[in-house]
Amino acid sequence: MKPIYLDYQSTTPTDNNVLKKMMPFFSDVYGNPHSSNHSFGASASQAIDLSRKVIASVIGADKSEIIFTSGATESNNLAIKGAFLYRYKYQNRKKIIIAATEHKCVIEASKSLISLGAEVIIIEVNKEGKLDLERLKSIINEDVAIVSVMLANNEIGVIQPLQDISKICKEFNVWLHSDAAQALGNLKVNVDLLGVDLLSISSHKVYGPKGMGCLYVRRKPRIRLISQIDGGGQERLIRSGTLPTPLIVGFSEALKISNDNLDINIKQLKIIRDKLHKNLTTDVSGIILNGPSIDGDRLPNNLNYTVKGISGANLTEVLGDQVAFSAGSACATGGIEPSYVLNSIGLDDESALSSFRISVGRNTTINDINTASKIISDKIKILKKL
Amino acid sequence: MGLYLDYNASAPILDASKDAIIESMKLIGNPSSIHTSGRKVKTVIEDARELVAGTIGASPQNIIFTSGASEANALAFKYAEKMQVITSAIEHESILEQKNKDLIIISVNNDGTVNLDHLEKSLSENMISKLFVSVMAVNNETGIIQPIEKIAALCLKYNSIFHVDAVQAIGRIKISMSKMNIDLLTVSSHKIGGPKGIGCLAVNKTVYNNLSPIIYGGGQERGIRAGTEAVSQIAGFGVAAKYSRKFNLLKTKISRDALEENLLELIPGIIIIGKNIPRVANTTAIAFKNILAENIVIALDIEGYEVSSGSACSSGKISESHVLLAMGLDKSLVKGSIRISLCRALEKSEIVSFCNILYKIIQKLSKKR
Repeated sequence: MKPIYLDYQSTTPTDNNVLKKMMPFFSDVYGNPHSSNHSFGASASQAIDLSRKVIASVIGADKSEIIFTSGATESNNLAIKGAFLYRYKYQNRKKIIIAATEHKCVIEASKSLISLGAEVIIIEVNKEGKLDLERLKSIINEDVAIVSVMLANNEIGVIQPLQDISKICKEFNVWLHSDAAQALGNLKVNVDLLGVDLLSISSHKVYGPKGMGCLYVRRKPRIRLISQIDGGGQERLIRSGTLPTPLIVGFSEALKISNDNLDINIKQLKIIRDKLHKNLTTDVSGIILNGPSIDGDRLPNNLNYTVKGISGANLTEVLGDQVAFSAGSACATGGIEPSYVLNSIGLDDESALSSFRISVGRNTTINDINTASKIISDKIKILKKL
Repeated sequence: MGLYLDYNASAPILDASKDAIIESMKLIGNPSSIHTSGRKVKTVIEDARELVAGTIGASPQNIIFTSGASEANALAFKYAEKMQVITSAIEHESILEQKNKDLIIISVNNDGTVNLDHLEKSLSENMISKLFVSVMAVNNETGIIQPIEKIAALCLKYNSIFHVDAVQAIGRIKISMSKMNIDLLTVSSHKIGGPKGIGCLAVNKTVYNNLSPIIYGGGQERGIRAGTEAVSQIAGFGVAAKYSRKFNLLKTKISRDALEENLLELIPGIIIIGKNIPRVANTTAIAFKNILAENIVIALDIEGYEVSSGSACSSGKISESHVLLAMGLDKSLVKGSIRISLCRALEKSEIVSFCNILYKIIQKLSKKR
């Protein structure tokens, strides 16, 4: 039996329609999109142009504001390093402010700049995981190059008040970046409504291919970045490298599908997620939901629990061939460390290590949920008795 | 009838590579997840890593997958951040545009090969610094093969690290990091029949221990390159790398040479760049006097033939080839240079019709002036 997949925040399966759309671009249209003089190259570049338009329109941007990258991690690196290096050099702004709950790549990219003169300030969050706005107000000033706050969290699903953060940033002409990798497909994202200057998107979190993403870079007012990969000067000199036509076509199709049915998808995700929540809270005594309340500012697909005395890593591993879910975010180190996101919302190490994340997706059925919750709660009961 | 003659810009994908991509796309899971689904996906990556390593004489654990050659070159140059970098005048833009300080640029001989005397002089004069030499194995515009083994010997002599951009070499000539004393090697997937958007930097163990990332995050690729791995791209790359081991380009070379002979006869005054210099079998760069290459490319395109002027760079950019200028070619010839790169051996009839069409185009364009 295939395991029931409940780890959609880690990655999503590629949609069949997305794959179909990509197929011709693997073989028939194989030109280098930058050899636009000849027609093989031209059809590849036309497909890329159209994809760019589609992606831009999903987030309310212009196609000239989309920079293709190899994924959200690269986008986040480019946004933070690119913006800091520009503003530090030309505007003498040396501070970077990030939330304590940011994705590892945002934290690491920021820290990598300390040796170049950056001062990194990490702002705490409240019990729900929301950024402390008063703290932000008290420390922001014209020395700040960039603020980076993720739109929705990968572990606890908290949705940040980006609009409020944007207002605070604008007062001091501070650029605002948001990692929206977890948000697309799960909530409406519009760059103007959010008031962000830079926004990272991942393809494989929206049922598109892995190895693809983009960075939205606002044109008005103009946001300038120092490039991180140089060469042939693609992507308006901001990101060199031959563009992977099939991936771009797949990415845009995936976003389009997600966006076309967004309202219905959100409703369905909530119904399924809430059912799972009900099952688990009924069957498992002492189970605690981490992050915002189930009806709060929380992604419709996310659940994160603590069950005291049950190791999250152990639970996910022993059930791995029946239900795929995770003990935190999918990270490469494999080591068992307490989640810093859970720590930041007030869980001690012991509780953080006794936690697990379940995320549902478009393909999850009520049947899946009922089977999976039974498997999980039964296993917890057995483990508790040991 | 038309032909795609721009292999060096991007190779058509191999069926086997495409199949591997599609198969792996059906897998669900993040390779970093510890559950069963995640581990299955991880296996796909590690299998491909071994295939790539086997092709270039490297150890699998020292292969770092990147989004392509430009990123791999950037990663190599990050390693060289605190070193004196010596590179050649004919490198790809992703080398020449690096922000490393005080690049020393080595000239090339008229035959398009790196000037070894100049290289040795620069090496000996800069021994006070930690040295880093970067030279491409095969030039993308001319197909001329660089004396990699001689350069490696010089690097050994002067204790320099040696990086080779082998993007145009894999599948055309034999490359082995271990046998050729190469410390860092850049490979691109889409130039060898694999998918676009993937490549790698291969390094030796000493270099590996001192690499620092340009993309930070979740610690993938053993901390050197963060970001969820592009699983299906990697799978397709692995298969393409495997296929590129057993190349036999003799027929391609015969047809390329026939094409050149045919053109030399038909159109007097043209120059085949590097005609008698060791070149890869599939590439020919031809210079036409007083005719703009762009006009030839467009006219050929109308007839269904895809060739290029210079290298495929950022969209629509028309600039003179820095490679041909470095070789001392006259400016009027540089402006009139096109590159033809073959995917396979051409049939006699294909060669004849292509040459006839090119001949007519040149006639027409010459009259216009």
